[in-house]
Amino acid sequence: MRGAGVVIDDVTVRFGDTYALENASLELEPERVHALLGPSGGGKTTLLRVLAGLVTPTSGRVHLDGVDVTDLPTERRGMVLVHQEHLLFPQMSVLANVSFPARARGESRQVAEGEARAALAQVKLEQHEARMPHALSGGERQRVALARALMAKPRVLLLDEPLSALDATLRDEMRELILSLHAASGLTMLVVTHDQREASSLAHCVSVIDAGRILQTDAPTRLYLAPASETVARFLGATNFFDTVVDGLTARTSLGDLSLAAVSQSGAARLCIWPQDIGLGPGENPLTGTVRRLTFTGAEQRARLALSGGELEVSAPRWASLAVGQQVDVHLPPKRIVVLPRALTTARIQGAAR
Amino acid sequence: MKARGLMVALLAFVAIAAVLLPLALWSVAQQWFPPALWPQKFGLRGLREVARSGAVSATIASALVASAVALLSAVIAYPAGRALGLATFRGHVAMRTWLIAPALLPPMAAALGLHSGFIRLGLADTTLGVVLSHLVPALPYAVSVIAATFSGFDARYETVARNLGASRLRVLTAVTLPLIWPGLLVAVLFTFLVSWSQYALTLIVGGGVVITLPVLLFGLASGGDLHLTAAACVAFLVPVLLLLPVTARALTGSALGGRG
Repeated sequence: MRGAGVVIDDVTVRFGDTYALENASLELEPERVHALLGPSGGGKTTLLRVLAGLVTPTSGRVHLDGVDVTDLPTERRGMVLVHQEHLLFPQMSVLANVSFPARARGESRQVAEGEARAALAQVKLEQHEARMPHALSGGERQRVALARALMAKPRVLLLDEPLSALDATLRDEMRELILSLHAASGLTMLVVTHDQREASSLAHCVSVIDAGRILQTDAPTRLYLAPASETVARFLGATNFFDTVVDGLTARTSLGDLSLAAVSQSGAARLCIWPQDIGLGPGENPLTGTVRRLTFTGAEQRARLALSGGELEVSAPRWASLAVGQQVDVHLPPKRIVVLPRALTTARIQGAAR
Repeated sequence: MKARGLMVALLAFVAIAAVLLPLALWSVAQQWFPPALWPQKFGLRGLREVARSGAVSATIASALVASAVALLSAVIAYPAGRALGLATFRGHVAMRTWLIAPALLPPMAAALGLHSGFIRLGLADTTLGVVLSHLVPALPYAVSVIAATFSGFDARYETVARNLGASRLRVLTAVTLPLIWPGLLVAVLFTFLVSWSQYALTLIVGGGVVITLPVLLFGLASGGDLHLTAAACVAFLVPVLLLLPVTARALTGSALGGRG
């Protein structure tokens, strides 16, 4: 069961007057893990359901290894969806659940259960085969759902929020499991998530989707270093944005003139700088501000600085001695300043970033 | 909590026994004059008489008609109840209420109306005609019970099964039916009982040719012989009482996706 390549060509899904998806185009490379990242209601689950054949697109086509599968019924697509709620058949034991796809293919009970036991061993649940779904923990149910999906011999595995219902320690385990299943099976996977860390740690390629539109598709590192728009940057966790007028290597902002590393198009733009990229102490583009608010997260300290021309959110190491009211010197490394096109509507973008 | 439940069960048992015991006694009493609390003489005259007047064939006819009605109701009510139970369209509650209306119709009114139509169709005086006429009071119950069952059913299990490669038939037999069978069984038993106790529709549409137990019972009861009437009542009740344990199991047993 080698993974297949998928081409989503200009897919639109409309329910009445609302667009769940608008002209979405996306290419999934075979045998790779892709992530769809976006806020809830952004259209990511709709796209999964279109691929699984559970929603018929209003327009647009879906191709699987070059074959148009848009009109194929869900059971003949080879694209299997693992729901966020797992949806294990409640009246069936774990073994019966996992054997189900093989039984549906017409395999005998012995053959189906043999395959199912192997699949359960892959997700390390062979000791629970006789249990009923309601007697399992959330993480175990998720693993049974994964084993059951693999039994359908899919060419593309679609995972809807596979980690979001789990607590932190289980989440790491599940991520490792998904990645090991991917390595063992060579399946193409599409993971839907609203968590940017989940997306970038699972996938080699991430698509940011919001309000039914795919905003950017890139490798996680590219996405963070060169977001295409303010919406994307905000969704990835960037917080510092400034209106600017770029003139050569200088950007005029309310904070003062900042020097840039590379020449970009001159004119009105938005500047973005990640809290993590702001340096403490003196350096290029030096600024001084007063700590207004301090948040300790365990991994870092977040300081909100008030400067003469605005505010900056700065990530500081957790051991840095900071206090509210303190004067702090920071600097903005020119290479880390991202120049974005000026957004047209900021209201919607801010709503989406919440 | 448990003690209270037991009390209620005990009271219900006493109440039912208070009705059934005299009936059972009358059916096997040969001689019983008030104010005696116990028959002076027991005998099987009543039961024998009832058996001779066609109770056996009437029981068979009743069982046949009621089974056919129950089966047809389930088949017809399944898609309707499913649509209503899973429905989110506007006015589906009003529609469910409205569908009960035929069950509230006096059977005599339905019988007279159906009869003239059935004569033209050649269905009058036939068992098939009787079965079809019983659907009028039976279907509303079947649809409401099945709709209630489906309103607690997560239809996404079906799409999951399809997505995993199952055919429509396998989805029905392996996923849907196992999850909703308690409701379906209740619908079948309800409609069986509705048909079992139907008198007016059978008498008029069946035209005295199709003799079911209630028709026989009314005939015997109008004779004024208490022994005979009681014996006929017993013949009427026994099959239903035998069905009760099944009903109880379905109602208290595994509910929708509950304790599997």
